[in-house]
Amino acid sequence: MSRPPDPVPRLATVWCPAWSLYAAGVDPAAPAAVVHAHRVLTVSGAAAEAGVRPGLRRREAQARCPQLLVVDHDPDRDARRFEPVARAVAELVPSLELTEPGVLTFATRGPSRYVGGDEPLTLRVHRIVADQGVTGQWGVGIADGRFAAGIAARRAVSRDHASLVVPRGPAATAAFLAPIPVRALHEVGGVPIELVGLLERLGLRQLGQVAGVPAADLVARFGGQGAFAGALASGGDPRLPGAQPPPRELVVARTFDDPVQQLEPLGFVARQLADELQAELRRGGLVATRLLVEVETDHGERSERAWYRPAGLSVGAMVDRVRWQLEGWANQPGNITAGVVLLRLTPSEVRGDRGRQLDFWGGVSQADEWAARAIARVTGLLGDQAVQVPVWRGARDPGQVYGLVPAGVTDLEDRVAAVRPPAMAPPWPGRLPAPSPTQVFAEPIACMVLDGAGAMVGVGGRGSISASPAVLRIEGPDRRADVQIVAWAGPWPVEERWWDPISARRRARFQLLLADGRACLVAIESRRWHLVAWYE
Amino acid sequence: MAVVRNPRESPADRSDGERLAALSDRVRPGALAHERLIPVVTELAPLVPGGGLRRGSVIATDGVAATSLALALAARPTADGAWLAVVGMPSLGILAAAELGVAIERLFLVAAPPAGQWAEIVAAVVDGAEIVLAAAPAGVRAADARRVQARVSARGAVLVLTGGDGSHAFQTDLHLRTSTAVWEGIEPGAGRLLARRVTIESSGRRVARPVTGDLLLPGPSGGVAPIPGLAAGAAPASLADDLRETG
Repeated sequence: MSRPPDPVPRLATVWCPAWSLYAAGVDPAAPAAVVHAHRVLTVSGAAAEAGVRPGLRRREAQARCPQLLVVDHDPDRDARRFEPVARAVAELVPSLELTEPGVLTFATRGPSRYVGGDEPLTLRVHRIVADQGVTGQWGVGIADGRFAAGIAARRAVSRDHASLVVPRGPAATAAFLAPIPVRALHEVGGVPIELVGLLERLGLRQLGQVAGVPAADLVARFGGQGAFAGALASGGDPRLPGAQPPPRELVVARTFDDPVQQLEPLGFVARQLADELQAELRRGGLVATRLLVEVETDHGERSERAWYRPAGLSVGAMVDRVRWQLEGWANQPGNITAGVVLLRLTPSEVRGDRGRQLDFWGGVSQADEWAARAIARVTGLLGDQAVQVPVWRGARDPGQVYGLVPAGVTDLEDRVAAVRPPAMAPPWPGRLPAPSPTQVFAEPIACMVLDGAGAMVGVGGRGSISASPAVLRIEGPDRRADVQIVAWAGPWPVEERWWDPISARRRARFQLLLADGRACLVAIESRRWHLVAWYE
Repeated sequence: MAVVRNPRESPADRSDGERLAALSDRVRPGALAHERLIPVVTELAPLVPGGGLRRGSVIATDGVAATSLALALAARPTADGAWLAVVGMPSLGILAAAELGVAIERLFLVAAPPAGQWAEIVAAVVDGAEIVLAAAPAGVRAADARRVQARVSARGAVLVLTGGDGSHAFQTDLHLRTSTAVWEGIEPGAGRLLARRVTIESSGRRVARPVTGDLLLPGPSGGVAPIPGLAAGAAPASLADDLRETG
């Protein structure tokens, strides 16, 4: 506690809020939101004005803002669109660090001296980013330490300035941070939300108040996270709780004798390297928070990027970032003229891995590791899309409650969370009750339901059925099969997005029991019958 | 519980993480790896010899409820920590699998392998999952089938082949045939599909004499259930038994 603190590095952060919306090509003035698993992640300014907030359910967001443009969550697209911006800034600065698409950080010492000061540096960065065609709101912040620089960038955006430079020195930094709400500790600093909530309830609403609490008291009351929060609030640049020097010599790399031109085998190699690296880190009870990814081609072109994630990088996260870096680099015209000969991953910052790693009973079992290895092998043999795992989505129709995603690039360690419905999942009105069918067609098969007289059975607007279903007709490739219907249940109508004439859907579902003992689920929509599922 | 250190390694050579992992492997409860028989849910126990799936065996299910039965067999093993791989069944109902008791966080699906690669892919899958469910393949050569069977045996896995017409080249150890399915709860214009009574006949090389049982597959909650109110003398005793094993 009494050793002199390390000098806090002066950093610049470029922050583009709602980068996903920009990457998706949405007009910045339009109300739009990025949605993932039916929850809003990011909103545009116009949408926020209409009352749409992150965390809302999609339907509620659309209710608050009927003209809301909904964009799918696609981190690959976001990263690809951000890569040219990162490369452009990288020409000015020796090394930069990426947290997520839309946010990058770099040390200002060299570049600032080169262009003659912090203010000119922000102007230069501003011009570089604007030259890339980035529209919408974004800002540059310069301050001592990653936390203060991040806050400065956000302040710039919220005040509608292009940039904000905080004067040097701990006193100026502390003065700048003092009036900021403590919520920033979570949003920018990575402090757990529970601790921030607790601080607020204890009456510490601003960073200045937190900085005023003696460090010893924070440690005594809140432990390592408390000390971390206190150091951040005072304008320091503390290492993450549990941070350790990375193991020396821990580097994984692969050189290719034949330069590789396609991205898919590189992704596969990245997966293997990440697996190796994770195994080594695990052995020491560590997880990487900062990963340096280096790629070299046969002609000596290099791409070097530092990826930072305070929560730690899992194997899936590492592979994602390598892919983003490769795809962004490869898709720039004139960037790569030869194949890749070297791929190297170096953990430059690590911390102790709490949580799942040291579970005594559970955690990653031998069976889990065998499964992961077999999945990687089959993916290598048949391709990325060949092996899939279920994730919970939630829907009215039995075939959509769970979706399937490729297994090779998802985080196989977090499967339990991915398949579990969220704790506050509301019921889906119109959802079919158990038991659910065992064979569900992704593309329902066209069929026909006829009544006793041979005419098509129709369903009226108010759910009234024209006649009792008597025959189910399925057109096969070479023959047509007619089966008698012994019993039936329905219609169970579903109406979705009635307010939007373009995407409104109205359909009615029926369960049919056939004479041969089989049971199926059919649906009629726009006067056309489809076979949706078999109860096999 | 006494901790026996491996005398060849000095404790200082292993990191804390390694020591902890080795210790937890030893004392982890319900470790499937050391048992010859993988237990199944109580309702199905009378239908499989020994009350469990024998490691290294090939099981065939067919009939009207072939897929449901195959999934129900995997319910307890996946709950106990084993992985289930499904090969070549792209329209598998995941929700139905979850209702039948399969732990879908330990499920992965493999697309139907291209012609001629079925054996190679299934052999690779067998390395990663203790229960492998596959649509019964047509046109697999006897030599390939033997190779897959040897791999299944060596890994101590269980291969379940569903559907098909029995013309595949595999030697099945256990054959479960589902028949006379009667759906309850649905009438012309009323009710809904509530439950299905199924007769399951178990036969095969490892079965001394064929066993037959009636079950609800699926029951009202989507899982396997005994037929309510079945008289004790009319069926094997454990079907009428009310005991529900936890886990």
